[in-house]
Amino acid sequence: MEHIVRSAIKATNFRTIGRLAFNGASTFCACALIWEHLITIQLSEGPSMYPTFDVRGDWLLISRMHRNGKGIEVGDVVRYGHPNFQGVHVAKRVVGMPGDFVCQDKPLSTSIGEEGNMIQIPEGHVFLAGDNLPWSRDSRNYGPVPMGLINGKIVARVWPLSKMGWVTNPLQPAQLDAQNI
Amino acid sequence: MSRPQRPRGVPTPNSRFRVHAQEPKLQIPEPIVSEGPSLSKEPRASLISHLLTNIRQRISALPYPVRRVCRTFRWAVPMLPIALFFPEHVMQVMWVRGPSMTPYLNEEYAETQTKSDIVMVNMWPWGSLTPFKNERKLERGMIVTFRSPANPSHIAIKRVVGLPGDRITTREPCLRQTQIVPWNHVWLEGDAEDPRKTLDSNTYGPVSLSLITGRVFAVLGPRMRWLKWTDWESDKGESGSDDAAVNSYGQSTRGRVLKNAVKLEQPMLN
Repeated sequence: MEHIVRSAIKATNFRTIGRLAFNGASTFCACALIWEHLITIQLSEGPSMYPTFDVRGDWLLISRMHRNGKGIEVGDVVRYGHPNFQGVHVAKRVVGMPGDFVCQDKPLSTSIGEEGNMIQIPEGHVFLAGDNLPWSRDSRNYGPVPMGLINGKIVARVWPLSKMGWVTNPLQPAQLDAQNI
Repeated sequence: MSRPQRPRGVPTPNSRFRVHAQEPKLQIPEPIVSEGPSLSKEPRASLISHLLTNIRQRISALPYPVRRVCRTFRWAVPMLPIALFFPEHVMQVMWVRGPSMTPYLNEEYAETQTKSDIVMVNMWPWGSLTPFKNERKLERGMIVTFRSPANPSHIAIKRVVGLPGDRITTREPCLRQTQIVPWNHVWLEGDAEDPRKTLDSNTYGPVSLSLITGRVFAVLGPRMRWLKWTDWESDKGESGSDDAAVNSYGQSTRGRVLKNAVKLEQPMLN
């Protein structure tokens, strides 16, 4: 140990300090770029997505390649910046894509499509809703969200090991057998 | 190679001093014990240094152009992430296209239609020191870049006209007569006098602060100048420009804003 410290002190000069700082900054930037452009692992929070994610929080794997709404489909769970709070990120499910007609229910209501008004989602926006309808503040409160706020798609749950798995999109095109047609 | 050497203070055992034979015997084992750990450590250090010298020798044996390429890579590879990180979080150079900011940026757009201003954009979220906390302080008159709500792959540049709580008397394409800017949103408008030349908040409504990416603080070309957002509020006009039309336009826009018309309540988060 002492030997290592001594040799380190002996080797310290402006050149090595500068090189160390440069390499450190480079490593930090590379990690930040991967974190912001490829994958993020984050702890979820709150009851708004209850049957899908636990109320006490799950560690989620978020693909940042889908930011700005690239390749997002109806039924995907996305992470987006909250339109009313800076620096707050929320995970909700996509219910409508640009051009779709969606019934904007009353906030925090449990009924679906009974009251509220039918809206057409404007260009470049998506309609988002939590899975736990009475406990979720989502597009029913603040209307369709611009796609530019979407900064990732939730791909998998990584932490409680017992519940590890992909987050699937339940809204798939219907597969009809030849007999039924 | 590195045989344990006898310490200098200890005399060599000599048959002539047999009477004192016990004392040296007691003293000799101590240095051997103390040298034990250093013996076990030495091969590790020498292995690393041996490897390093081996690599250095191999590199110096390479032909000179190859060595030069290696040396370039040694600083170019760590430079790459920094070069990618910098424009995203610190500052960036952008080209302004289109006539939406015409009297202020792209000054000669009406005549040439080809020249585009090169602007410097401050991407650092001013107001906080860490680059990931996205909290911005905006003022009326600042020129900001943001992701267009209508087209997420497009970055737009407009002027902040109204802050949260302001009541705006809107321009032509907007459906409502007046609009109150909601919490954490801003009203952005282009400087073009003709409302058909700019696609702004009159078309897509107030823009969320979370969409804003940066603030324009300088123009590099064709006419280099600093942009000061405080000039917007003062009556003397923007950047000392003596163009009467520009000033009158700024005044008419400011006249459509009723500052702090309502006091907004913070909405619920969850």
